[in-house]
Amino acid sequence: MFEHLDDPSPPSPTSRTLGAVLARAARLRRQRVTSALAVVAASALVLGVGIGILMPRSAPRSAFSAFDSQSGVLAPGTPVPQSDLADVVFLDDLHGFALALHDQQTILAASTDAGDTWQVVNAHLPIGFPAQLEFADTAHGYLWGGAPSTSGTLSLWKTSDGGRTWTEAPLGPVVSDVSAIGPDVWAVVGACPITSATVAKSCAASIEVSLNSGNTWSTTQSEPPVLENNGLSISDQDLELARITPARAYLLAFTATGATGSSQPGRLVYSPDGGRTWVERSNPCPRYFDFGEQIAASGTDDLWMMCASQASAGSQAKALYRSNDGGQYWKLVAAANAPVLSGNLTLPAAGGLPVEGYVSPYSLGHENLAVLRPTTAWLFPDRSTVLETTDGGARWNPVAGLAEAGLDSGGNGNVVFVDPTHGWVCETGAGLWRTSDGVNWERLGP
Amino acid sequence: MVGGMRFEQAFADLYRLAYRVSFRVLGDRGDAEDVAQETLARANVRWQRLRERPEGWVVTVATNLAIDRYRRRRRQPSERTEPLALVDAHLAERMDLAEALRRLSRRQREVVVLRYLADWPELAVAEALCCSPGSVKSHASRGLAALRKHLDDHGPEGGVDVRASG
Repeated sequence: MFEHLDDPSPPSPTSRTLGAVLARAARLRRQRVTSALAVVAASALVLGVGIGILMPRSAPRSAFSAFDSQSGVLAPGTPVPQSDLADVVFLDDLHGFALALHDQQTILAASTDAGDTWQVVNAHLPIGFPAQLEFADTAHGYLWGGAPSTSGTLSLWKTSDGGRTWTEAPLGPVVSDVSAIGPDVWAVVGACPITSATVAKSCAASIEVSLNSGNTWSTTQSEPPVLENNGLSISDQDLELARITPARAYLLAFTATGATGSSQPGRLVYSPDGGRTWVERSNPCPRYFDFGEQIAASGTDDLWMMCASQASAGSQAKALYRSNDGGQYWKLVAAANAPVLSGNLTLPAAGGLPVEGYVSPYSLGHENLAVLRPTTAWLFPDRSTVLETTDGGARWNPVAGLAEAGLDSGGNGNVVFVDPTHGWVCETGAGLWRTSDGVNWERLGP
Repeated sequence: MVGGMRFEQAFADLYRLAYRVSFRVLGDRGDAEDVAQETLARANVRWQRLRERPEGWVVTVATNLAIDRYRRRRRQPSERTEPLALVDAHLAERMDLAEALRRLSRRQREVVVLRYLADWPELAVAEALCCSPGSVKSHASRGLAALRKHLDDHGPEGGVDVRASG
């Protein structure tokens, strides 16, 4: 009756599949033991209270009874469990903000203790996940992305009171990316709304600049010589802004033409003077590896470009290029080949990156490449565990302390570092992990 | 049938079974593989109790996990942004199927899943659920009617064919 819904070529389970299943089973057994111990501990606590002995315990799930049981709008201050965070940003080693998923709402939560605890700041945000979030300080923040409005717009919202209230910025119709360095804020704005009539049409893009935390805006003297492709995805993330200093910035535009092997590569442009002038830099992503592109930097000249193919069944061909001269010359440092996804094109330097997991453009609302030094970076592909490189990107290894964290289930999440030693990884359903030395990771919360 | 085998011996057949029913609901290889792995991991933990007759349990749990996954996906529509070339032609049917299964009573769902999603004969369903073939027939009939009503009300034109067969 449902034969037509079958996979025409189902995968055959292998010994590796069996190994993965047995590893999961072992994890389930450990969780059972932990739960049983928790019951014993709770019983001991009740007994201890009964005889006047206080037993310390850390962050019980009952602390989140309001979050778990209420289906409406949560009150500010309500504790938020780490397992429901979908995207975290940190300003320093203590102060962070997060988007969390509650019922069918996206809420803003904040932490002032490095992620140990989170409280609701605003439970009725103007846009929902996969909204993107950036805070310049504990008061000024920006929210954009999400799903287009009925008129095809994607707005930018700003707050000046730590997220309690939000106002819409007079920009549009499509805000693709935002970057704030103190009160100096840039927004990349596309000229065409996202409607069926404009799908896959290329439109002009401009940079809007605010020097007063988003209160007033002006367009840069010259438009960057890139086009946006407004049919790419629901949040229109084909434009990525990488600001290194208030004056120096890179803008990457890719057009997702790799699906058909089109020969229109994405473009990378650079401004050394706050957007007054733009110069073209070469884009290294080869054909079929240009379906998704993302850029990261550890300094003005040290650039990392992740190029990726179409994806399927949890796999995606990937190629990592590095430049140490600001994008004038690029070198392939690692690749993951999946010929069926990349027009049978394979690249050398294979083996350093895993085929498993999705990066751009499937990493919607999922900041997944954190570059801290020319040698060191973390990568958290969607549906993969967190990977680390310490040799400049040639080899990527699963982070040992996170191997059992269950971060490969494909939930929303991200990796973020504020310096080379303080970082966080979150995934909805799995939880939040923190490192304070760049090596060891601890799970936060229940 | 894999009754009485060691888990490792029964693994391949049970994995294919779990993958098949979850793919029919989800239509995504990665998700179906993940559901199959989770189902088999849970089966491994309970193997001493399941080993004599694990198939029914595996089908039921895989379907429930697939429906849960479908519901999560519906709450977080952004999580999958597959390229147009990979869009599932039967997506609407699968969504309606998952929704319709979710609305059945537990017993009706077990019967409908084993009988029609896993394509088992009535006698095998009765054995798996420790009930009479008459009871299976009754639950299957009522479950199928409820399924058909939901799909007629909500399904796409030319949607899932829910005529009883076999």
